[in-house]
Amino acid sequence: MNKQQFMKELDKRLKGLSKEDRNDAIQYYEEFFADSGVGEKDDVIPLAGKPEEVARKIIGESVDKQDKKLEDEGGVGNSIKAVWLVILGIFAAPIALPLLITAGVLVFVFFVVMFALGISFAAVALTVIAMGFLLLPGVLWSSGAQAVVIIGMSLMCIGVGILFFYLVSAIFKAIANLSMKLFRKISKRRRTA
Amino acid sequence: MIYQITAPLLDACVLGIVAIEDTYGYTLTQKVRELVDISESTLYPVLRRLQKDGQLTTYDRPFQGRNRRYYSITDSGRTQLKFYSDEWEVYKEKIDRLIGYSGSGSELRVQEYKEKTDTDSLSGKSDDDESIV
Repeated sequence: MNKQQFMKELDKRLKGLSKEDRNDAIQYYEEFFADSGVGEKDDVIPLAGKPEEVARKIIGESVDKQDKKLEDEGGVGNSIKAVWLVILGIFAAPIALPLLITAGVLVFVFFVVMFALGISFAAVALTVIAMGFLLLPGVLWSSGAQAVVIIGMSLMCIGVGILFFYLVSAIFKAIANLSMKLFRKISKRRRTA
Repeated sequence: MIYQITAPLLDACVLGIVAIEDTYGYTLTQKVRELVDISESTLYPVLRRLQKDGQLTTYDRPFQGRNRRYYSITDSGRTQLKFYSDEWEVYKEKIDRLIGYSGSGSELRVQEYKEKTDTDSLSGKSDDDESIV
């Protein structure tokens, strides 16, 4: 494999990383080859290793770095980048490609399902809150006890809606944190194995 | 090399090389390659990590119409290197003690060790004799 093929392969395999990280890696290897004085047609693998191996290490480092950052920040929050890096990490693990694709897709589906569930629950919470507000104008057409009942009902709806919203978001954050931890563990073990 | 290098040890070596003088990627790799084989000497991810952790900084110098990126050690890098080197010293001594034969004066050490075990077994024997009596 010559220099050009190496660079092309490396660039292809680093696609998941941010543009900045990718450019930095590419620049490093351009410079590395220039300094090594290797010819255009020479085999560069004895010099730099296999591009897929190199890419795997670079991605592995980014995943580890992300892990550390996550631990420092104490949670996932709404970091799509974290999810993406988990998937990348699994792909970086040295296991057979079909298995990898299955694992990657499964993880992706898992996160999509969780995301969809989260959205639906949030929608329910919002609807209940909205109902509370929509009930309020009813006061204008009623009087005395009726008005008190309507105000009570609307306040109840708003309160329950807000509580439900917090509860759901707390549960989903916990699930997200737990599953991220699990997936990271899996991808890490695979890589060191 | 039959021994495998671990990530912290590789970090320590990189920091150690850069601590002596600012170095660029290719020479750094060449130096590390005296120690480990190619599959383990993919230094780029290591350098990138050390840089992001603030243990190394980089600057570019023009060289033959292009840029060469030099790595230089920071204060926090030096602190880390000191820690690594102290840890290594402790570890090395422990290994040496177990291996027994390595380094200069190793024969003396073997001699000492033998004498010590001899006296130990002798005293053990005399203890036994006493208990029998």
